[in-house]
Amino acid sequence: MTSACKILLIEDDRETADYVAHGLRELGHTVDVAGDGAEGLFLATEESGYQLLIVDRMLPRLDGLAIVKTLRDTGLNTPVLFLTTLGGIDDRVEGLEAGGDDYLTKPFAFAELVARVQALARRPPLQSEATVLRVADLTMDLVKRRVWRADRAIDLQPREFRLLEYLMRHADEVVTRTMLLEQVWDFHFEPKTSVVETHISRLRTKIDRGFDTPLIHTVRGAGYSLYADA
Amino acid sequence: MPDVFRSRAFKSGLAYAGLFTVSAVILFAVVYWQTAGYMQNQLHGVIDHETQTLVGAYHEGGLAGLKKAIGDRLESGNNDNHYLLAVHDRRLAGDLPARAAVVGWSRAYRSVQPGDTMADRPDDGRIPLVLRGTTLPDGAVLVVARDAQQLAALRARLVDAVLWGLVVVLLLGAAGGALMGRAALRRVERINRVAGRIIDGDLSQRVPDSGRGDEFDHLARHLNRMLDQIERLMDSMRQVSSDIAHDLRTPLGRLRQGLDTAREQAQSPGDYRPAVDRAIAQTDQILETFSALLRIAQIESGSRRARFARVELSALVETLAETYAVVAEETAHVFSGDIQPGVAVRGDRELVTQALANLIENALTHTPPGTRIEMTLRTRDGAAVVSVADNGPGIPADARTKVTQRFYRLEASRTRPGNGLGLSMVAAVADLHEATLTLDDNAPGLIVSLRLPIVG
Repeated sequence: MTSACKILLIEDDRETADYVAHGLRELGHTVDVAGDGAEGLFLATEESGYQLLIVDRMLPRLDGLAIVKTLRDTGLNTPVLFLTTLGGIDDRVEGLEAGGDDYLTKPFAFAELVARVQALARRPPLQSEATVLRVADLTMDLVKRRVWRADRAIDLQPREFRLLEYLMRHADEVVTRTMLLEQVWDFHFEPKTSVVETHISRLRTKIDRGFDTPLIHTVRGAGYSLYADA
Repeated sequence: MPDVFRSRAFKSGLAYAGLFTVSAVILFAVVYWQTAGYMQNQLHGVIDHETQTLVGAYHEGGLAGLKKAIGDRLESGNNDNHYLLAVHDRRLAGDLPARAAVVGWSRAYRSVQPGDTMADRPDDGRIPLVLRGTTLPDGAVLVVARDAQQLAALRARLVDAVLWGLVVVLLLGAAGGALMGRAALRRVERINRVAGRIIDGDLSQRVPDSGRGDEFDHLARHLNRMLDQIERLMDSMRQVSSDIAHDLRTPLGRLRQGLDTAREQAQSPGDYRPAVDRAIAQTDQILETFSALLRIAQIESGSRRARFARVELSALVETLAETYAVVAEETAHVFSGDIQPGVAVRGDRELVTQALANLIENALTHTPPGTRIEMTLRTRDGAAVVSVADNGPGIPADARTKVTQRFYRLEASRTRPGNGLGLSMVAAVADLHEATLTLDDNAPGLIVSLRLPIVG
């Protein structure tokens, strides 16, 4: 389910750069690595066809924020994933304000990175939003806020509705716990209790119970994925 | 002790002495002019009166009559008055020489006579005179004079008094300035000595308070309060450093031990898998602790305040209650929410969310199944009060102030997951928002409240 992407990685730490580039190449992506900000900006503007930029916040010569601001000023809309340092609570807001699309705090699990890369690289272009989402026999009406599985209406709480909407928008992709916390709950911290797990479990009960094919799947060591077994 | 004469207080003392001297000089001058003027007027009055009497005698008895009148007066033995009746520079009568025949007011001196009996005998043997010459109709000149010795003596005494007075004022001013300077310097020096000892590392030193309640005592109290604060911060920093070292050494040791065991006992690559998973989980926990510490430090730095915006607190609390009601079902707690709608505060949405989530999660993880947990949002006295109350085991009163300290954990909770930073984070967020965090006895259980200032 992974489509190959051309990715530019701007990261000065050799070890992190090798780890990320190697892992992404294993998945079939093409990865170029720039070791400092100036080189990164040069590659991003001169070399065309990148579907995703992965940019470290702290870079020699030109920092990540400046690179992305410059790129956005020149009209380049390639999705950007920022890599930020541990505990930098202002980094996310600053990164998003500069034109970044997502952020990931170092150190991160590789599965987390892969899920984010997938989500960004396959992000649909901005267009008129669909009002009805469909995955297999599951239907969600975004205007009426109603959900059906086959012809059975399913009653969802607001939070469950948002959770299912996110899973449906990212059907066939892996979404991680952290992605769900950020996108569904706007939680930018690690909860001590199993917030995601309990909600997924309830949602499963409502969506999958009584049907032959489960739609919500747990991806071990990574997160969850919504798809119909084919 | 530094030079007294360079002290601020001495200089002020001296300046005051100078100002006082100028005032004294002006006062003395006024007294001098008033007194001397009065005496001179009196003298003139006496001379005028005598002149008129004698002119009267002249009109009655002519020059002869006048001559007789002068003679009578001189014989009566009044030494203070002197006379001259002269015609064409020739003395007809009187005790003054003919050259004194000057018309109008004038001054002159006479030498001391054997019969003079005066209190203030002049040092130079000359007695000052004030004279008034009058021209009579037939060309004769009548001069009436009077000794001005008393006036001169008074003037001299006044001048002496002024000069001595000035000397005394200046001396007292300088001495007073020096004394004030010394007193002030001594107290400043005491503060300096304490500061010196503190610089040398003894933070327990405090500036002495004389109890007089003056400005030095105010300064001392302020300095002492500042020192208390610094000492507390230093203590908490030392505490935090050693806590960090201790709290991270334990999980790092466990991590190392786990890896060591895996290396010794693993037979096949497959055997490594659970050990590696455990190692990753432990590393994540350590990183989580680090991250929480950094986050708290960043919150405490206050830089987030620049990003404050309106936060719809009611909607936020509603979402949290809805979310954790689901979690509570899983942990078999009885969760309920009672949320006043339409309440908004100014702040950092992300941090307020995390702080409130921490409070709920504390209740969920530190109370046994079956415990009731109620989350409420109410406005009270212009503040939004968010409370999380439970009827669980609660926290002993003496521990309630400590639980917001970094790494502080109740004995009972040490075996549960957590890093002892949750409430520290909440306290930091509360401080950032100028909110108050209170922990109270819910009889039974614990009620934690966060009081945030409301915006309209």
